Amino acid sequence: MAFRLSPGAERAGYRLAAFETLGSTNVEALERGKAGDPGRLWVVSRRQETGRGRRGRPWATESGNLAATLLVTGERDLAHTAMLGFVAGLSLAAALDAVLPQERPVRVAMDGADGASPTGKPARISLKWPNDVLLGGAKLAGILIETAGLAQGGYAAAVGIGVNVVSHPQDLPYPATDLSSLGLAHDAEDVFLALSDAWLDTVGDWDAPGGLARIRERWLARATGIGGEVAVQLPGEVVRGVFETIDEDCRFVVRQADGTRTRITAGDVHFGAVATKRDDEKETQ
Amino acid sequence: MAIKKNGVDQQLIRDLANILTETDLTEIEIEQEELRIRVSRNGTVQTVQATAAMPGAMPVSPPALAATEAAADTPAPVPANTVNSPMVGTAYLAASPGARPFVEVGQTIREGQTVMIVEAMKTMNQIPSPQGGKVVEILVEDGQPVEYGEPLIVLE
Repeated sequence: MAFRLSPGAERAGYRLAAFETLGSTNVEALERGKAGDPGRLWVVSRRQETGRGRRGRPWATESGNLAATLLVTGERDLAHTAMLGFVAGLSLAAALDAVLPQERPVRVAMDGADGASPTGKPARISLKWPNDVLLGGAKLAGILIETAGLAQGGYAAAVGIGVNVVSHPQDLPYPATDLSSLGLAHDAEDVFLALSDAWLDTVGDWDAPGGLARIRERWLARATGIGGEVAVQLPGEVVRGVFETIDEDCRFVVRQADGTRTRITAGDVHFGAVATKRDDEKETQ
Repeated sequence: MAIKKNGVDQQLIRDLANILTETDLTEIEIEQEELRIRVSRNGTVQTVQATAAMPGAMPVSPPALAATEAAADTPAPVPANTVNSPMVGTAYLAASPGARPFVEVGQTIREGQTVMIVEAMKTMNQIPSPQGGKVVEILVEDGQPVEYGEPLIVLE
C-alpha cells in the first residue's frame, strides 16, 4: 500500500512526495522550501537514516514507522510559526482518534505502557508540552519544527512528525510505545492519511484571526501533567514546581515552591517521579 | 538603589550615562544582586536585564525590563551592524551540543548565512544574517534566553 493524501487534503492543494528511505524528511522539506517550493508539501518516508530530534538528538525511524514532514511557507512572524508544533500535536491526536479502535481492549506492553484504561476503553491520547504525543502516558510520537528564512522574504517551516507505528526505540530515559506493541495493528499509511486530513481542520484555527487562543484551548483539553509536579531541564538549570498551565503564547508556566511563576519557551519536561528527584542527583537527559 | 517595584531606577542609568560621557569610556557594566546594567556608547549592547538565574526561562514578575532604557541619555549612538533575534526564545550557537558553532569571531559570513538557532516551543529557527560581513562579537552564550529584537552578533 502506498502513502496517499486524504481527498480533502488534495482538494485543499496539498501535495505528497513519498520515499522508501530518506536521510531526514525535515531536511528534504526545508531544502525544497529554500529552493522555492510554495509549501503545502508533505514529505513522507518509511525509513529515515539521519532523523533527528531536539538539539541534534537522533530520532530513529525504523521501517514501518512514519516519518512525515509538512513544508509550510509564509510571511507569518516566527512566534506565530512556533505554534505550528501545537497544531501538529493536535492534528496527530485527532488522526489517531480517527484510526484507533474505539472499543477494543488492548494488552499491556512489555515495558508497562498500558494501552487500556481501567474501563477497558482504549487509552486516551494526550499531549505533553510542547508537542509530544502520548498513548497511555508513553511517548508515541515526537514533533520537531525547523524554520529557515527565505532569500525572497518570508520563511520555510518544516513540521516534522515521527510516529512509532510498529516499533519504538529501547533504552530511552522515558517510557515509549508504539501502536503495534499495544495490539493496535496499523500501517503508517493509515496514520498518514488520517493525519493529512486532520491537519486541515487544526491549521484552519491557526490561520484564523484570534485562532491561537483556540489552539491553546484545544491543546489544554488534551494536556498531560497539569497540576502535577514537574522538572524542566534548561541549559545548565532545572526548574522544579507545579505545571500550572500554558500562557497565551503557549509557554510552559511553572509555579515554584516559593510562589514564583516561571514561563519557559524551551526545555525538556519531566513529570512525576523524575520531577521530584533531589537536585544533587544526576539529571536524566 | 537599583530596582523599583515596577522597573529600573532610571536615575541610576542617567548617572551611569553621564559618567560614561565624562570619562570618555565606551562601556560601563555594574552587577548587583539580581540586576545587571550595561551602558555602552556604541549602540549595540545597551541591555538592562534581570540576572539570567534561569537560562531559558523568564520570570513572570517583575515584568520584562525594557532593553533600551539605557540609551536615553547616551551620546548619539553609532548604528552598528547587528543581527537581532526575531523572537523570544533560547539561542544556540551550534546545531547540537558539542558541534562546531555556526559562526565564530573573525569569520567572514555571507548574507543569508545561518548565524544561530533560536528555539521556542521545540521550533528550531535558523537565524540568517541580513548582510555579509566579518563577525566582530558574539553577544550571547550558548543556551541563553533572548528577547525579541535582542542583538545576537555584531558585524564589522
